[in-house]
Amino acid sequence: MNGEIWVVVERKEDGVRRVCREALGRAAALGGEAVAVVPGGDPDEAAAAVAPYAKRVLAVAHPLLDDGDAETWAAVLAELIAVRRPAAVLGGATARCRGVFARLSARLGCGYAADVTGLDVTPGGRLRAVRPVLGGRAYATLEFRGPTPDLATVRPGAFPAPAAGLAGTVERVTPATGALTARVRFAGRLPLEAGPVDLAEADVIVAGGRGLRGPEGFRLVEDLAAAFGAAVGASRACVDAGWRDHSCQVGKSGRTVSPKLYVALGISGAVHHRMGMDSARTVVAINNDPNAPFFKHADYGIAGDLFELAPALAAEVRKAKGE
Amino acid sequence: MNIVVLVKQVPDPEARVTVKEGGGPDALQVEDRWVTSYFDEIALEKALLLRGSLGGAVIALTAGGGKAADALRRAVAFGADRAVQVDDPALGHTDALGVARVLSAAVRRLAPDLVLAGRAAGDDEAGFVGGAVAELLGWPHIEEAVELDVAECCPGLRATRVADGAKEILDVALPAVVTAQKGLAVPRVPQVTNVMKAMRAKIEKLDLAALGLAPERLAPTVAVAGYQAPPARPPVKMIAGTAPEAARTLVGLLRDEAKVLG
Ligand SMILES: Cc1cc2nc3c(=O)[nH]c(=O)nc-3n(C[C@H](O)[C@H](O)[C@H](O)COP(=O)(O)OP(=O)(O)OC[C@H]3O[C@@H](n4cnc5c(N)ncnc54)[C@H](O)[C@@H]3O)c2cc1C
Repeated sequence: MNGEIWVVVERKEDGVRRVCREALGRAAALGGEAVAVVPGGDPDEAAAAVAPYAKRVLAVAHPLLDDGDAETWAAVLAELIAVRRPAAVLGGATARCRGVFARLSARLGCGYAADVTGLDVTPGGRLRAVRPVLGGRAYATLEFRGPTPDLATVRPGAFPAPAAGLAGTVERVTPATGALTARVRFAGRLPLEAGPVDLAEADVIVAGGRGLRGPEGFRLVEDLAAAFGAAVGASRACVDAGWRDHSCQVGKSGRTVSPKLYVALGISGAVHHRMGMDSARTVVAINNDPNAPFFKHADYGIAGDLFELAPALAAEVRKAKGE
Repeated sequence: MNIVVLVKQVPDPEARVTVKEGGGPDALQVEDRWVTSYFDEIALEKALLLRGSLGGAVIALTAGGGKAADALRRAVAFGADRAVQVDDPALGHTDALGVARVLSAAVRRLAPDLVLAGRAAGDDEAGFVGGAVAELLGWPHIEEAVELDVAECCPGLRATRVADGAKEILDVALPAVVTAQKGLAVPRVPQVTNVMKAMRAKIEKLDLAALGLAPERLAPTVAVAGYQAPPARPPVKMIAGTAPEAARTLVGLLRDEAKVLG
């Protein structure tokens, strides 16, 4: 691709969100010049965190960017895009960046592909994106027309994350403050009762269903998850019954996840659930009903009682990991 | 408070989906079963709850012909006061940005205090329209709200959303756009009598000319070049044995065959 490919980078603690690293890796492979654009935060910290993953870093500093409101991010990015004219702008398909990219597309009149799982370049030098539709039951290939830059957010887990190893040059940018007003006011932040859940970035997810018989059943799930170093997911049946917080729900009306390994305990495998996890690389289903639908959509299945299998599996995983 | 709720009719998640051999732009075949998008129903329910406590009107708005009006009838069966459909041949070959332009023009005419929409539509799940409509209107937007009420501190609304593993509390002045995440409200099951009444409800129609939009504003910025079936998973390997045996076999396969351990 001719020109710069920007990746909007979201920070996470003192690092970089994995999906943003994945986007940076893909951007570098598309042939243009990959540039990491980091809105908000301390520019020195941002530079230190991002430079190992990109040849060039734009650290954009302004206090209003620190809250992460999509409107202020989009306003600043649009201003930079108008001046520097990148050929494409990528981000992670996170809640924040989806808001930012929707606004960028509307403001600039540029095409946008959300939650893409494939990206390449057409002979004409435009982006071509592949994305799931209808809950992953089909994949659409999208081509861009009209004004550039071409905009896309990438699905977590769709591309490999490159290891650190670069030492990018860092340029600091101070946006013109006139255009910036924060109209969504952050009034507070409360921890979640269930603890922080980051299903989108988890390599391994252990999820429980109604087969657990009650909230206590989730102790088995948690123990197995701890053995794997996994995040805990749940079917809607469990969430609606109040056994687990909404933020754990996987599926059509919950989160979409693409871990390397998804282990389903006592989940029947309804289409609505599978829509949230069908792009997991390896799927294990454990269910005492040998005809459970999940077995048709799993790589490995065990037809048996989860109350015996979950502890046995946790013990074997710990053994294999030498714990 | 007057609220516009954006609603969309989408294929039933249980509808059969096939992708024809060859995979061109017409290769997608979806069984003819439709529902109102799940998150839109949550937004609609929340709008009706807010109307109950604050007064005002709830106006359901959709863009598109054919089946699109069914989402409006469903909204009226829920209890919406008005139903507005933008229908124009140009909508047949636009993209999500074109739809957002149409919806924002209609919202500007309806001049509500609040726009509620689902966090993503059940078919393409882009999560695009709420943010784009907010941008086109020049309004603030709160994404993925799980709680929404009148703010105590100031004129406006207070919303809660789950982001980065915590609950964020956000205040916003009106007018604003808020998109609904699961948990914001539980959609009702409308009574049969209301469903019957909704069949005869008046649907207000608008076209591009009425909105003062030139058809060129709907020229697509992305186009579907083709469809593919999802990558097929190989047939399942069922693992037999006692619980400890099966667990050992599975861990061996995860480590040596799938290579997802460690
Ligand atoms: C619009 C819409 C959206 C939806 N969105 C979602 C969504 O986002 N996520 C979601 O998950 N669902 C969703 N659903 C619901 C979905 O259709 C299913 O109802 C739900 O996934 C069922 O949850 P479950 O598998 O836990 O429960 P069940 O279907 O009751 O299955 C429980 C399973 O546990 C097994 N079991 C029982 N005891 C044991 C044991 N001792 N050992 C091993 N196995 C055992 C049973 O054989 C059974 O297969 C949605 C539905 C609709 C209509």
